[in-house]
Amino acid sequence: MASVLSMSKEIPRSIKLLATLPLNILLNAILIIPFAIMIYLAFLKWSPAMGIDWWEAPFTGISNFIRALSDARFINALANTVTYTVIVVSIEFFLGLLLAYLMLEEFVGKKAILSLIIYPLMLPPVIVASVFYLMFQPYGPVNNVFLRAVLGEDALRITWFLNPRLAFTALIIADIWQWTPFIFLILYSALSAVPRRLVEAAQVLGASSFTIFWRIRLPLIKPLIIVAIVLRALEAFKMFDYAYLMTGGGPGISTETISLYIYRVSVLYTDISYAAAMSLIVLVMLAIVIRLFIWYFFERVR
Amino acid sequence: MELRIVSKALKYIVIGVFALWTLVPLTWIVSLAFKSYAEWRVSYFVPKNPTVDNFVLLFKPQELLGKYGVMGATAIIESATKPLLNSLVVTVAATVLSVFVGFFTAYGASRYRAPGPFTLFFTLLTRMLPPAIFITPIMVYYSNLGMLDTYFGLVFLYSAVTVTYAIWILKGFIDAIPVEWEEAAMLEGATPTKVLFRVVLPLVRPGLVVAGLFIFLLTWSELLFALVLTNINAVTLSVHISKYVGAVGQLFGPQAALALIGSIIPVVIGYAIQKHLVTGFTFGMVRG
Amino acid sequence: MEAEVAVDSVSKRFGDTVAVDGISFEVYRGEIFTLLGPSGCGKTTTLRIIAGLEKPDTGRVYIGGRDVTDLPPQKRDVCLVFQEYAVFPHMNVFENIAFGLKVRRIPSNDLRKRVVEVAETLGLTDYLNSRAGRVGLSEQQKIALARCMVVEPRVLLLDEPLTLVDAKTRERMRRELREIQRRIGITMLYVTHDQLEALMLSDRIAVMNRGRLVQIGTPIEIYDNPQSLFVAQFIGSPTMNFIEGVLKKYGGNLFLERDDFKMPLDAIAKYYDLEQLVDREVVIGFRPEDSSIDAKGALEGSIELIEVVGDKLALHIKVLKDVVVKVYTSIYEDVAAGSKVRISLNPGKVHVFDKTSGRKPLPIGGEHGIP
Repeated sequence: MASVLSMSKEIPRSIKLLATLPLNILLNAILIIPFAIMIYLAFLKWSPAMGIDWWEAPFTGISNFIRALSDARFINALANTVTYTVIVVSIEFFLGLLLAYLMLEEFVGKKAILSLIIYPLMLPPVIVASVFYLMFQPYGPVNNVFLRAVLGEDALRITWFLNPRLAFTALIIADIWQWTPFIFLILYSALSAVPRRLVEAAQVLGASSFTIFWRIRLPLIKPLIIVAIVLRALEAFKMFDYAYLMTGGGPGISTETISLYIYRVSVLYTDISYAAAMSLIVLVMLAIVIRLFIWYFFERVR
Repeated sequence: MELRIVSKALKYIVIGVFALWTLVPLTWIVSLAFKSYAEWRVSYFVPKNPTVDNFVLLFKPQELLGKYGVMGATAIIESATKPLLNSLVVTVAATVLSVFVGFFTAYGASRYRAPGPFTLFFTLLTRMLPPAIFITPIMVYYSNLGMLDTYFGLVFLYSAVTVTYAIWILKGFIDAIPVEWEEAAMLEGATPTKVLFRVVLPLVRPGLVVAGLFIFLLTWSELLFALVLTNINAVTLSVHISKYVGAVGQLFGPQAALALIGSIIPVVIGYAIQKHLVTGFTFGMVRG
Repeated sequence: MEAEVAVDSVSKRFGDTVAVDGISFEVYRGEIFTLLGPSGCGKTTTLRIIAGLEKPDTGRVYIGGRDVTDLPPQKRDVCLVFQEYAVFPHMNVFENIAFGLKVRRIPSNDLRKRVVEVAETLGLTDYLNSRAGRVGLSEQQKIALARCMVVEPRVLLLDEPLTLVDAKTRERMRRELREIQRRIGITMLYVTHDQLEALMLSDRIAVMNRGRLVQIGTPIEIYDNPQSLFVAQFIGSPTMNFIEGVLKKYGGNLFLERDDFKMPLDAIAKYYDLEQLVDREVVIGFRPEDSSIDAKGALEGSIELIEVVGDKLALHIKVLKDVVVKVYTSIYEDVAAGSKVRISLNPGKVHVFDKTSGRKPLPIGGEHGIP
């Protein structure tokens, strides 16, 4: 793989400009400055409702942070989000792996099925949320077709969004529907890329296709398994669309995720500095987790 | 021998179940989209009197006001046309900007290590953190700059958050081009910029397409920032869709119709870059 | 004697290409049987069909008397050593070798013993704990071999296992392979394009070309009595000398006629029924060691080049206007480049081929080596 031009160790000025300036402008203007503002805001007590500009607002030190850490709703949102992430990623990994295993051999119509399976990935999450909102209506197919078979007429009376557990489950189901193909695709690509010779070598040594999967293919794609899980977990943690649209965080706050809560505090309650403080706390938490993760997986190399 | 047949049958059953599970929501939406008002709350799949009224309702709400009377009880009276157009404009503009900035950056990163690995890692970081974290300051920031509810504001924001994908995808494509070609061109007297535009750019065109389509897909689907930062002028399709969900009056039919319409472009793009989906989602770490 | 491996009328095509075209042969227990031929001749495909990695379009495969044609590789009691070795890079050497035993659920004491034994035989003891992907090429080849050996299959299949190794190591490994095979007595089916290797290693050779079996025989049979032009050209290093011409009969005597030259063939006519070839285009072949400088020889030519080969001289002699043949002669022979000499051929070792069909005419009595 080519990296550095051998001719000129020095980077031509024009290229340097092009390569770094636009990016810097973009990032600085749009992300870094607001980020700095956010840090500043977190230490103030300010809300637009106060009638003054934020740079005139009084300093309150760390009181916002303390408030956040003792805010039951904040803790609840975090707990919901973490629970959601863990459940969703685990189920999707299991299903994705199972599906990848089953799809490894050729069969009639495989290409068509493959195309079908990945289609949920392409849809905007808004639309998936909208779709599943409709699916879980009392007269929707979930109640009518599937549950009716199991529970009879009672199935029609189940209101998914009025029960905390059921509402949470509905979100999980929507997520699984949309994102299992993500894990599946990564695992499937990786598993297929295992050299054919290795598989054949295992075959002539007497290994069954499951043994080959378990002892040859899977170990060889370990790094990609980690990539898949990490990427999916990060995305799941950010979840906003499903909660906002399908349950609105409810009933009550039983399905309120951290993104949703912060959104509410900023936009609905316009408690800007409090929202900023919460954002910072979440950011620090995530940074620690990511740093731990990098250390654990990459820097412990023998 | 029987064990083989049983396990093979089991395999096909599981795959079949999964395929069905993927199809059911789609079928339900299609069926709902063509159901008339009376049938919005029934449980069977095939509409008895299929109609395209729902689609009309989306774009010309006033027209069917009388026919349904239901419009009086709902909060939605705007047509879907403006959000649709807004989404198109914003998404295309953001994609183009993102891809070009990404291209230049990727070239620098690939050939000269500028920007350095730290900056690149930082860009990765922007994707790892929840967007919700940024809405607070950006709201304030945009408000002060008067960029709320403008195309401009949205476009820049979307570019900033998607440029990472462009960089990583394009870097992969650029890395694959032998350096010698550029060196040869420079030996013949071409300036570095000329080399960039005349030699490298044409060669990575497929990469530009992949990155572009992928970023288009992501940006088109974006909801949170659009919710926060737009109101009337720059309302995107995602926001418009969100208004139908749980709206007073529960317009299930149009909601489904809108879902269908909103999915056309993403699905077409998705299938166009089918092979590259994996590359895109994993920042180029896995080749599709 | 019952065949350990039997292949019956097997064919296989890939798309429009016919890789294997109606092949049948048998391999006997304890022998080293080699499929030899140029690349693309179908030998690897045949091997893979026997291993169970490819399904033949027609024909049956028998191993140990059982019809295994419909069975997957796991059920055939064979093992294949691949050209690229294909060691499992994520396991260490011990685990690689143990893999086949683990799959068969051999208890760990027994397993350990067997693995260590085989590792010793092949000189891998020092490497047992190393990552299999990190060791050198010849070690990897040994690992691939050990993996198969430890499982004690009925038939050991090897697909050009020495191609990736440098020449010197190749020599050594050939000898080691033969030694091990003799010691263990396992039936070995070997595939190579290197005719020298085949001649050195095998008990019997099957020469293949374009998906067809051309000749089967012992190395000596193949070398001394090639039944077709193809085999004659393919086998032997240096290659056989060839002279083309038309077989003519003048006054009851047979001649090879080329341009204005007539070479009398009566001496050879004792060995072959040449009558059927009269007036046809033929090719005469003889090996350098089956010819000599002889003042009364039938062929006349001038020496172009003299090579010293071990304890002999190889003379490149131009005969018949534009044909250059190689002749071996004693190192003490008094010759110089440019001098005119006459060559005589050992009549029992001259081969005649019909140019169009490539085949030899029937010998007077005796048998063919053609299957």
